[in-house]
Amino acid sequence: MKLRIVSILCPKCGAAVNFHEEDRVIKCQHCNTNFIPVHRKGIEAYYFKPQIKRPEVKIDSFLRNKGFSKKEYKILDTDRFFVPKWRATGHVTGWVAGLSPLKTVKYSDNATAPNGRTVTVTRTRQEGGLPLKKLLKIEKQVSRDAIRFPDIRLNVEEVTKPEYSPFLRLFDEQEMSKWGKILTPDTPPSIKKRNVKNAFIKSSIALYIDYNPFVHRLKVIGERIFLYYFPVTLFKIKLGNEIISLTVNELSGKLTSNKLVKAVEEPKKKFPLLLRTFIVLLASLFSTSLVKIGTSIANQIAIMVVIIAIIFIWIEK
Amino acid sequence: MKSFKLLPLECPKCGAPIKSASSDMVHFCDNCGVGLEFTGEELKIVEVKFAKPIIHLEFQPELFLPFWSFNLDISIKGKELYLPFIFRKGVFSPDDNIFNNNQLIEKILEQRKTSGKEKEFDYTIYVPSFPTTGAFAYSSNIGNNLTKSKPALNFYEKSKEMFFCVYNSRDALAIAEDEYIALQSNVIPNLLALELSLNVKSKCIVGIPYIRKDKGIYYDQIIGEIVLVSALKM
Repeated sequence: MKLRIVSILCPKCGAAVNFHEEDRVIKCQHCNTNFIPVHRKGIEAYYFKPQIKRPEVKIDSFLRNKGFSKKEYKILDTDRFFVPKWRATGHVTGWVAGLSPLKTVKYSDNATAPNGRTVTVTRTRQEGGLPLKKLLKIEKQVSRDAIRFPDIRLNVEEVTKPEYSPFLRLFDEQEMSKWGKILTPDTPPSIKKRNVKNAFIKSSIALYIDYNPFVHRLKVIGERIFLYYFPVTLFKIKLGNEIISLTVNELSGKLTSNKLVKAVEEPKKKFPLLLRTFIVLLASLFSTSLVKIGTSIANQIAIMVVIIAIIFIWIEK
Repeated sequence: MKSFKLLPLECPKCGAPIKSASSDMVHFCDNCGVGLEFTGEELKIVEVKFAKPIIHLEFQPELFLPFWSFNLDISIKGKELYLPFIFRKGVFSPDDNIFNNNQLIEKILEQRKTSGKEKEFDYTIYVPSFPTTGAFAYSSNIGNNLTKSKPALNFYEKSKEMFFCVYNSRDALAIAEDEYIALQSNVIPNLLALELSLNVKSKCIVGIPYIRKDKGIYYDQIIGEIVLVSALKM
């Protein structure tokens, strides 16, 4: 992930200070003081400042593009949320040891038969059981949803996008509450830290799942846990007989639905049956009168009219 | 409730402002030499020593690179068995494999009983903690070699300027365990099968003196290992 810049005010001189999201030390260029950012419970919490002024316009244009008229849907409810998402980084380090799995392998070999001829035979042998002793050093990064909220559709990768850097702010409950509700993560930070460590280690030993015996002394070092609050507006919409939820990403304006919204197919404009019958009748009368004239040109025109009438009926069918 | 506060980086001893790099976990006061380790919530004072050169004495050190130094006793969890004991010759044979021989530890314990209480001694592990261009200190071999050489270090009385330090003691201890296993696994096959317990008796940061003899290469003045200038994140 590219480094993103966050801006704050220096607590000593009040000057604007820019720092990178991953920095462990922040320097004020104005008064030359270094600061260490201390986050509550060791969780580095940020939020994104909402940018979309009128999300309902996005809803209208989305549904219009799907072929729905204004009369066919109704916005029942609108809620603004800051949706929390986790991101964790760290290094897994340590030794792993064990024996690779034993397996029986078939192979072809030449053998001499009692009659002296050389024949090909299939034999089996045991493979594996090789000792493993390896020092692992793996860089890990993971992003996860912090809450279960099926109505809200927001890809977890949204929080790591570098283009959202200008809207990244330090968590500020007061400021955020002015805009919308702040959703609380399902997992408390202390448990999350433990889960992250376990997940990192588990994914690091996934390659050795068949090893028996298998032991490891893996640890996670330099781990950092970020909690991002992402602004979304959730719309509950009555669409025909269904109620659907549409989530508007308040940074990109992108819209996602909790259900598949099918575009309405425009009905084909067909001639009414009466009109079709009338056209065919008219064509027949016209042809008959042409035939009665008796000239060869009139006959040919009459035949053409009949053919056109037949083609018209066939296409309409 | 505020979720964030800024801790000014000032020396608690002399009040001087402390210079630091953006990735540092331990900060050093250039004025009085105090080391401050960030634990996640607060800054804790950590002992810092600057080693005097043992080799290439004709040169003055140009740079001090930080190494965590852990004084440890290492035992097997749940058993009164100190690791130095089983490193003695004759306890293990090269063919012994803890994985294949469940009775091996019991055999060692039995031998220990008959030989009386083994004299405990501490084990000092050095962990390089300076930033390098790789994800980890690529110089982990330097740490192994320094630990293996068991140098008898003498220290300067006055503090020097230290290079940046990127590991806190918790992370460095985790790396120390890897180093220990790397060093001892030649003696004990599959040392990992033992549930090791590393008990820290003391810890400090040692500044190891370096000189630049050739273009682009730093040599340490303790055992003469090299570090490429291009590999150091200046």
